[in-house]
Amino acid sequence: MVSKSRIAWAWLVFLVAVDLGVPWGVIGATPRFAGPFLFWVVWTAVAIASMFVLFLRWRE
Amino acid sequence: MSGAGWAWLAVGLYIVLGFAIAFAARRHVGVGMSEFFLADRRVGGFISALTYSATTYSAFMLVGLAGLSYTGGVGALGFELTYLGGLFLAVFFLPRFWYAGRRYGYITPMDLLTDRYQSRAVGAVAAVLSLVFLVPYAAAQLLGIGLLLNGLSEGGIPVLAGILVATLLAIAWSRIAGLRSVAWTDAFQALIMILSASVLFVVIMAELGGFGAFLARFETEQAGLLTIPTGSGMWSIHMFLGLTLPWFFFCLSNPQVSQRFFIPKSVKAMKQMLGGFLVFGFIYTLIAVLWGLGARLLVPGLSNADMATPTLLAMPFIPKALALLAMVGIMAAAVSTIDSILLTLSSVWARDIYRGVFKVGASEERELRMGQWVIPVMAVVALLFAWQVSNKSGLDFMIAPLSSAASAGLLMVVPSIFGAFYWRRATAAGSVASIVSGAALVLVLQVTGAKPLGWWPGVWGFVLCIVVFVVVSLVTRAPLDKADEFLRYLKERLSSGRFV
Repeated sequence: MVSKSRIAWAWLVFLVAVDLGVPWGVIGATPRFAGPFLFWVVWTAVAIASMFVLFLRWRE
Repeated sequence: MSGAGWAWLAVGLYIVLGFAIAFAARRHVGVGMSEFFLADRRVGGFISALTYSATTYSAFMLVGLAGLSYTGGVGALGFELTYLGGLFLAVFFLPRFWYAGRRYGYITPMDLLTDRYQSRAVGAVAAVLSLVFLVPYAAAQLLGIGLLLNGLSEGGIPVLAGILVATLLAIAWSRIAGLRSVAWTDAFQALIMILSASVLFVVIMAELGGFGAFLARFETEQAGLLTIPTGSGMWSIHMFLGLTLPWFFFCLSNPQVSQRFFIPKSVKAMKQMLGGFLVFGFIYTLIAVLWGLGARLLVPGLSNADMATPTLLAMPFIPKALALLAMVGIMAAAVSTIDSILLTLSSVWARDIYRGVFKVGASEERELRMGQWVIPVMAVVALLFAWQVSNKSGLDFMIAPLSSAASAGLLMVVPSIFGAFYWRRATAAGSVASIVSGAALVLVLQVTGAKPLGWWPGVWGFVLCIVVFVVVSLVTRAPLDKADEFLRYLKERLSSGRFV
């Protein structure tokens, strides 16, 4: 079974790939706020939410 | 009263309040290195979150990042939000630093490296790296304050005067009660910072006809700034990675930040620190970038983009009191970053260089005295650097690139940190060789201005650093007994606390 730690690392790598791939490869030329601007805001919200999911489990 | 008069009055009130808080913090100070530099590892979650925020976010945000947004548009948002996404690393490393710090009594991140690799040379080299590269970062904050006061007073306050005031405050507040005075004043300043920025943001948007009208107008008049790369080609992938790579690892590479991993008093406080910072950072980043984009519409054509915020605050539609509050908020944030850097550098000097190299076995009392005395020396060096830079212009001397360039050098310690926690075979020789070779390459490329194949110094340095770290570690002898004991302890603690 793959450990939670490895899943978390894989998720981070995926986030980084999306962070670079989508703006430069897909929506970079969109001259509107609904382009890279909105993408990065949503990307960050997802990244932060996944961090909360992981660290809210921590126990003393 | 003149613009300069009002600005000095606001600064005066801020100074009085800051000193009151710093002296209040002094009443709780005990003795020893851990007490002075880490507040005895007993900081609550709320204060931890705010001091982490104020240390990380500074003049760089509402002056530097706003300026970068003014010039480069949406890429600046991606750059800063990628940094925030990089805090994902703290989910892995924060509990590891915290548990190891408590178990082995580490004062600085370099102290951790020294013990884990069983080599004083590792700690000393990482310490020198910090001393060299944190000075430009501290100088960028000083420069931000100088520009801000100069702009708001319509030239009445010279840039150098602002730099001097900030330097003296940073020295005083880090000396009065160490981390306690720094953390308490940080918390106070972080609240001013976020509140004043939020209110000013609303005022700026109102002037632009509301948020919806601002978006529509910007899309019409400045559409090129919403694309990647921008119309001017500024945000090439090379530039984005060059600026962002050091920033992504900021929470590990910058000792004034990673030292904060030692201070929460409990796991609950640790969670509050991380969660509080993420919320603060998300809001503050959006405000800073939209602020810069708004300035592009309201004050177009500025030759120095770092003047976007000061120029905006001096505009007639912004009530004087609000502008002064915002100015104090930005200044406070910058001072809070500088005093944190000074405090960390002084602990690094005392623990990892003075006691680690020159006076092995020096008493803790002597070590602490050495650390306290070095604070003003570091401050003066940063001041001289800021003064020099204040006379230059161009992208390289804007606050955001200057800060990122400093972090590019600090990035070279990251493989050693990864190795300490995740690689049993990592060695001291690998660590020293990687830091030295990576930092030397970064310095050479930065000084010569060379960007081979278009990639920035931090990228080249990081690649070299990783390769050297792995290769040299594989051919040298690792401190396996220590590694096993260290990693076993952490594994036990982490598995019992549901950490990843």
